[in-house]
Amino acid sequence: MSATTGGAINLSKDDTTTKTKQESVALASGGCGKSGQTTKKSGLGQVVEFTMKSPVPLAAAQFVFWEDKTNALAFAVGTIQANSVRCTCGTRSWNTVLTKESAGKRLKLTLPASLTPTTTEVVCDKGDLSCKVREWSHSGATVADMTATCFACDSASGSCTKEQSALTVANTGLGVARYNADVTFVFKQAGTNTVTALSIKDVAYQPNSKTAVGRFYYKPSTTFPLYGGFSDISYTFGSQTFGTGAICQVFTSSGTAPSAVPSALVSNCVVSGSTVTVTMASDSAANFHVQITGMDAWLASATNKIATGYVKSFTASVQVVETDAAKQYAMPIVGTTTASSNTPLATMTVVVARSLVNVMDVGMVEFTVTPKGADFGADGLAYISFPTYYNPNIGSGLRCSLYDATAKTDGDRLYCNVAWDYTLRVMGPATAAKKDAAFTLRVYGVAMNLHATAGNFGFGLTNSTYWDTDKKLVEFKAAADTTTGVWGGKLAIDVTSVTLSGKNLRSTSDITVAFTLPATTDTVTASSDFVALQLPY
Amino acid sequence: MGVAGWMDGTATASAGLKIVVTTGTGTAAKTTKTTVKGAVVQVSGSNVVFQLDTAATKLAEGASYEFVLSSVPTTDSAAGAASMMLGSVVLSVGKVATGGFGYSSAQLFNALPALTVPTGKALLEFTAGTVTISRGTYTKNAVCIQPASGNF
Repeated sequence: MSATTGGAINLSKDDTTTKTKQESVALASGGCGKSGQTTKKSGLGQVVEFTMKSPVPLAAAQFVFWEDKTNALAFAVGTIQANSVRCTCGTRSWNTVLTKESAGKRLKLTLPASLTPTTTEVVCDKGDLSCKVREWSHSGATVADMTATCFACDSASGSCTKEQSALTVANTGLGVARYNADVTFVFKQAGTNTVTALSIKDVAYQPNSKTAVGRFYYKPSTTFPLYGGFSDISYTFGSQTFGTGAICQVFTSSGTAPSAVPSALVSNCVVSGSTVTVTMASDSAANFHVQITGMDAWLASATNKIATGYVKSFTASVQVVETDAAKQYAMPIVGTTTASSNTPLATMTVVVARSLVNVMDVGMVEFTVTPKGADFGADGLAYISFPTYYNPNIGSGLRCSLYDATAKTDGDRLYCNVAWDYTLRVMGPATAAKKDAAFTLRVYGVAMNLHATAGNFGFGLTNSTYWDTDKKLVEFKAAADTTTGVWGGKLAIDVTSVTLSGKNLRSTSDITVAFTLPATTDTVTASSDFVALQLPY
Repeated sequence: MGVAGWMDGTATASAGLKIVVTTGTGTAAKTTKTTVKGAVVQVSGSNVVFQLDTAATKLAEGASYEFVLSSVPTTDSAAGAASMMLGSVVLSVGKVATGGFGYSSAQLFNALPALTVPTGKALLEFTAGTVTISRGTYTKNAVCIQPASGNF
């Protein structure tokens, strides 16, 4: 309050909030945990949980401690890695670390400033707080039964002791949730873990033929917990290379093979040399198949052991593949068994021709093939790998046909479908195309793209019986693509009307399109000799 | 509007092209449509390529044309019929020996109209996209689905 010379009195409001420090509240029975965990002094990938049932809300920047009540024993843990601790209270969860203090005799959690759902000052409502150390990097030491306790202190008291937490405010107490000598839990680290090696399942190359081009897939097999964004699974596949153009895909599993449904469990896949590394997108078991397409030919190499591989969580490798070479997973080499690879005949000739090859064209790819191993008949199957500058589905509404190059007409209709991305499967004609004689196979409806360097088609022939049992080719030949088309569009064609003769579904209709060709600067559409119409799928 | 019959060879496409010339203006305007000879040379499930005869006069810039794709099987599903205008249709021209040099723009293309059920008929459809049929102990090909009278 102040007075002016004019006799008026001014009153000003104190803008400083009066704060009263609250007394700490004692932890109730069972408020510290958790007891009964089996923590081993060897092995990796262990999860150790620390809990506190707080009798009061906990605010940002306050501290929670778990420590040996006698201040004699240490937790015997090495570095607790960044983000490896997952804390949960109420509906909130966050990644953090626990700080080791007093030579490892206590672990300290600092409550974060803000979380989702958005917090103001209160981070955890009164109740359960759980912090799981998801990669317990034990020191290898035995910890006899430690009687541990917990408590929480306010934000200015990072070095608060359990005794200080229990003092009253008047006695400079620092506690929020007060130490209670009767509230303890038992921590024990003893015994050894059985070390298991990282395994792998469903490793397959299709076609299982040396020199052939196809797809490679596998399913990781680990019993270790995996964490989204923090766990990598990596394998090095002997001396099998994948090439710089390899495409890694992750699909849900369909039995022992990948389905066609992409999996959301993986956020990244890196192919480098002979190594494939995937990063988990969520906390989940590795229930997916990894598939590589657009890769180098299958080598069926003698150096076929998976001798290197690991699961890494946070920054530590927690599991590796078998170090005993005799027990390491061996990929197929050329042999005589069903599981081994074969060497397909390579004397077949394949020549590629294409039409309508510019970007945005839906065109045709033609293969003139002279098989040398067997006739291509009703039991025949052709597996044709496309360079990866084509679309993964090659095109929409594909039609495959034999073609009579002399009469210039299509012959037998051949059923075809996309076996897997970039690979077309064509079933043989009712009337066999004889070996040592050329036949022409046309694929209509191929979506055309540009390519800087022409790649190779991989043309393989087999029969359905052999494929069903062995997934191998009888013969295989790589054939170069033709030169790239161009992006030819200059001006959009002026479509003035589109009319349908009838609008009934489950019927037929004539589609009439009226259009005017615009004058382009380089008369690029002048003298055009075709009109094409692409319909919606 | 992809045509399964074109893919499996049970149907084929036919098309025709006319050059449209308009002379005169106003009430004196006269439009002449002259057939340009050619044939369908490529067909797939969603695409048809009509090639002009060797002797035919090739397309000219500034000229107007009318392209008719005949007897196109229309969709089987009510959902497809209702969303015809959402489909992307592209008309292109070029040279078969090389490729396309002109394309219509979807934004400038007149949308296809929605299709409807013919008058006097009711549409019979499965409620789900896939249907599981148990063959049970019946002999092969014994499962038959017969629409009730009046449906199609």
